[in-house]
Amino acid sequence: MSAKIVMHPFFAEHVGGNQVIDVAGSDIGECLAVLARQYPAIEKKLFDKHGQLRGYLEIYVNGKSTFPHELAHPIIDGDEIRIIVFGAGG
Amino acid sequence: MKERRGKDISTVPLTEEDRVRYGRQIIFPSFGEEGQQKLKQAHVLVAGIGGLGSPAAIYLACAGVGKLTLIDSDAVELSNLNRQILHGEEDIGEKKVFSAAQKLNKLNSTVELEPLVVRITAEGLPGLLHGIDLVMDCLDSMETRFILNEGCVKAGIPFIHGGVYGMLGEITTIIPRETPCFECIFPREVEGKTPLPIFGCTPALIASLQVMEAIKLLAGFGELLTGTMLYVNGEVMEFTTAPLQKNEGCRVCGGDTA
Repeated sequence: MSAKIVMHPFFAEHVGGNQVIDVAGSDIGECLAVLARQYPAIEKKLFDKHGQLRGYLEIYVNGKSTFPHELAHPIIDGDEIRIIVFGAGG
Repeated sequence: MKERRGKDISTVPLTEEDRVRYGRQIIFPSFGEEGQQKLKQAHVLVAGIGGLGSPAAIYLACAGVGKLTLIDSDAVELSNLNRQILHGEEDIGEKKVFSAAQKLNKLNSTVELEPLVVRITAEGLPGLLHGIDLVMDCLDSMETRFILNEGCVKAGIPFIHGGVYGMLGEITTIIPRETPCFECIFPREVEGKTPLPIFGCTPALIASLQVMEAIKLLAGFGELLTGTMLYVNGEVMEFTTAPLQKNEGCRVCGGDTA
């Protein structure tokens, strides 16, 4: 399945300044793996050393939250995946 | 980041006590007595008196901002005390704004304090913003941030956003009709997870940066963090800035440019 990942500005320097990146995969985990192969520096920004999605990230598909099972969320053709850095506490 | 001239506010005379109390900042060349007078004239609203709001209010009060309106509807809980440094064990059960006002008055009795136990709502916000020069976003709720952002954009009041998660923090200064607004940056669907992990040192750092922005903005010197988000990731001790873009389709500020 092909999808677009809309990158948060936090990641700009790690993805060559691209705001939208085309990826393919059957779920978000696969799409992010494709992204990380294309831009290796992004992997540490997305995942901790245990391979878990970093807690301050939120992933939305077509405007809907995928929390709490973000990486397993299925993707279909044309989906828009949006990664958001979410420092919402105060 | 861009240079900005100070707000044209009438100045008030400094007392001899002011000159002594604020002497170490008055001698800063771009600030001086005029900068101190501008702070003394200013009325700042601190939205949220928790992890961010506590240090923000402390440094605003100590810097000599003339009037602080403190807004929070919550009472102090034991689980707040790792980060909300205006409150102590003896304050548990007390409304945060009253606990905070008591400590702030001890730090600087010359600052006028207006503690308000209210929830920020779209209906009530315009009245709360009357006479306010600057809003400090020290909230812990995205939903309330969207309300505050929209109110500030409509009223043309600058808004300094701060947010934290664990050891990650973010800050940007939003100037209505000049910079991207909060809703340009975050889609309204953002819900978030609760409770969020927070170390007290993270909001302390971000709030200090918010107050730096506030002092520059009110006194009219330096460069502001506008159109840019600063991220501080203490877990790997990394400071990153990212440019922010105005969303021309933004429901709140889209197409509304200077």
